[in-house]
Amino acid sequence: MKITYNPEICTECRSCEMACSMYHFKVYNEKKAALKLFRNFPDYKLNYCRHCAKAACQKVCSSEAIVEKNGILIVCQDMCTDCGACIEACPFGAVFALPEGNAFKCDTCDGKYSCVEACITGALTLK
Amino acid sequence: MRVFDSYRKKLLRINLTEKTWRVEELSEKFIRKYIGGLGFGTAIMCNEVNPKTDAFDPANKIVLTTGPINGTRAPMFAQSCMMSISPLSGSMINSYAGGETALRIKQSGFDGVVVEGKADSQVYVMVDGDKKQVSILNADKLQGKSTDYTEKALKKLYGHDAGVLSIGEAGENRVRFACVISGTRAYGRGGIGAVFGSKNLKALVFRGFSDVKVYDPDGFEKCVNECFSVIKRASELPFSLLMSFSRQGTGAGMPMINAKYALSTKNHSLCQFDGVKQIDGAAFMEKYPTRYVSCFGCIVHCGQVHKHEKGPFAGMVTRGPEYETMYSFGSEIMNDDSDYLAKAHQVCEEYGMDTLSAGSTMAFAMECFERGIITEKETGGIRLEFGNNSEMIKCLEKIGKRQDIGDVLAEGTKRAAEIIGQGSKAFAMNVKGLESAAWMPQRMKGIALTFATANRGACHKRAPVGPEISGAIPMDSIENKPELVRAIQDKVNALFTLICCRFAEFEYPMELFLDLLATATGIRMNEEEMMQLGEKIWNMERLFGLKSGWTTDDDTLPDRCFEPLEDLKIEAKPLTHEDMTIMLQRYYKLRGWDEKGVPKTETLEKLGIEYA
Repeated sequence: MKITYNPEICTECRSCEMACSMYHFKVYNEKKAALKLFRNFPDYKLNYCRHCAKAACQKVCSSEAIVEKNGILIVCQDMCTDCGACIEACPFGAVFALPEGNAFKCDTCDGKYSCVEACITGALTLK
Repeated sequence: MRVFDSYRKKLLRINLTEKTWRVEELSEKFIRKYIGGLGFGTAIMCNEVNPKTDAFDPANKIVLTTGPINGTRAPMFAQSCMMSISPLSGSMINSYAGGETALRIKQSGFDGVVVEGKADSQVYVMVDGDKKQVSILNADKLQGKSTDYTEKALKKLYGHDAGVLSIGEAGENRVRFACVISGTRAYGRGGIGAVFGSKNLKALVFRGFSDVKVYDPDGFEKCVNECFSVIKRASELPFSLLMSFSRQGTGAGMPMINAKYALSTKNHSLCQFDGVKQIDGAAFMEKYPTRYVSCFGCIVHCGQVHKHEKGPFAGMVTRGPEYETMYSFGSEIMNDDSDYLAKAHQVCEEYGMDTLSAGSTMAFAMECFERGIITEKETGGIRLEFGNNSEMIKCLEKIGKRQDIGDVLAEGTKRAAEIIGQGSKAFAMNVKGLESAAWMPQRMKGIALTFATANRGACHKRAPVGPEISGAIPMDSIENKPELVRAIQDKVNALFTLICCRFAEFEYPMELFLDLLATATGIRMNEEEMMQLGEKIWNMERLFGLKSGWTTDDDTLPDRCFEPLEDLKIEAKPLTHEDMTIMLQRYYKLRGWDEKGVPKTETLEKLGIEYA
């Protein structure tokens, strides 16, 4: 399953980002979320992981920190050297640097997809 | 124990005269006593500002606060609270804006900010929470710029995710109803934008990304899910306010209000507007490509972005107007053209003016013009008739710039009527200097008492609007209204310590608010304690008002409210002076105030108020 995003019905509430950071870090912080809404009224866009089959993030990682777990690519925090190559390489801008510098990307919340769950309008869905 | 987790326990104090700043610790005692938001702000204002201070005196302060639930993903908690002495009422005002500012203040590491003094030239303040640095910087290049320009320019410097609160030309020119804009949201009421201007403060910028923690994350998330369920249930009802706001924005109810002969029209002289269906929420959705938009973390999405693809303002994009603007720049000035209504909304946003006070002042000016009290000589050639929309826009810009008649109108209706004279006071729709919100005291007696007693002035934010307009209780009766008004004032004041959106009070049970507070902070309060906190704050505000010079004579309404409504086609008891006297005396008694509206010593003791 993959996350799909319909900007037409997104209301820019950012519940998805907050649900993501709460799931992973037990805090609310957009800098600790694996998706990010960028806004410049009236424009906006959401950067989110497409879970690519041939993922650029994995391809450029020289420390083999991006590994497959249950069919999903995740960042192995122990292996990550904070080089930032994956962040640069992702064509969707969906790999993020955590405040400490290490890379962070969508791991589907172990299949829970907190962002999709928090999206009441249905802008984020699973397909 | 990680008690108080969602608080930062820190207050940032900025002195513009000295160009200094310092961080103060908020004690656990203070936090427990006032909880946050309106509570913090009221306590700080009462402790630090002499109520007799002129709004534009450097001794006046601006207090910006958040509450313990703001900055989390709990829906309907996006707002922050700004307080100061109002240039309109001369007493303490609290004003709220949604959007993301509360989150930004909190992530910068503070529960609140106090701005003191006056800069010798125009500045903006940059708060960098991550670097723990505050800079007071020259804003010469932003002089005379719109709020939109200012915000974009500062975001270019500090990043798209910085929070910017700014004033436009109206604030710089000390238009008494100037507001502060952040994003497309406004700290609208009471004129704090003009206080910014008087301090030579163009903008506040917040940048910081520290964690917003809660005391019991799992418990808190459960409460958030309960909020979602409550909102979803309300949205699925055949009719609920939240459902209609979600679908058509806050302007959804206008035709219903009109049908009940309760839509303030033509400077409150009529109660129905023929053009209502051209300017209500549905009309905007039909006419312009529309997209729903939310405040931070909110799932109600009562905001709407409208794109003007054709018409006189093609290319314009606005968020709003909201219901109150549809009244003030719609029915109140006999404008049935949504293009011009949206344009007025946008001009107010660019100049930074409260659309409610600006529209109400415009209606006052139009009535003066039609009565011949002011002429084209004073207006600088503008024919300011009701419904003359293109002239209205010109006049609005003159107010923002304080040109010609705009200089008088920029004083607000109360002072403008004093300057203009000739009996205009009778239809200057304000209480205590603050212009009237949309509702009609002539038709709704709970509203009449609310406007007369509200500590902000003619404000609807703590009014029993719902039960009256829905027909749950008779609009034209005074029975039980003092009890009802007092209860809603205390409840909303209590909930504004948490700074929820006003709409949350419609749907969330008190238990849910208390659970959110407990799981966010570890502070468990019961309903009685919460309501008493609201009552305490209400009394502190009242004392501040009395010290600033208010008397029972100020607990009154303009003469217009006692005039018959020509277009009222149904049987209804008109509002009388006797109604007001009976309701006021009953209200004072319920509040534990004497017949002059002064809180009695035993009332203050009961509430633990030392501020007397």
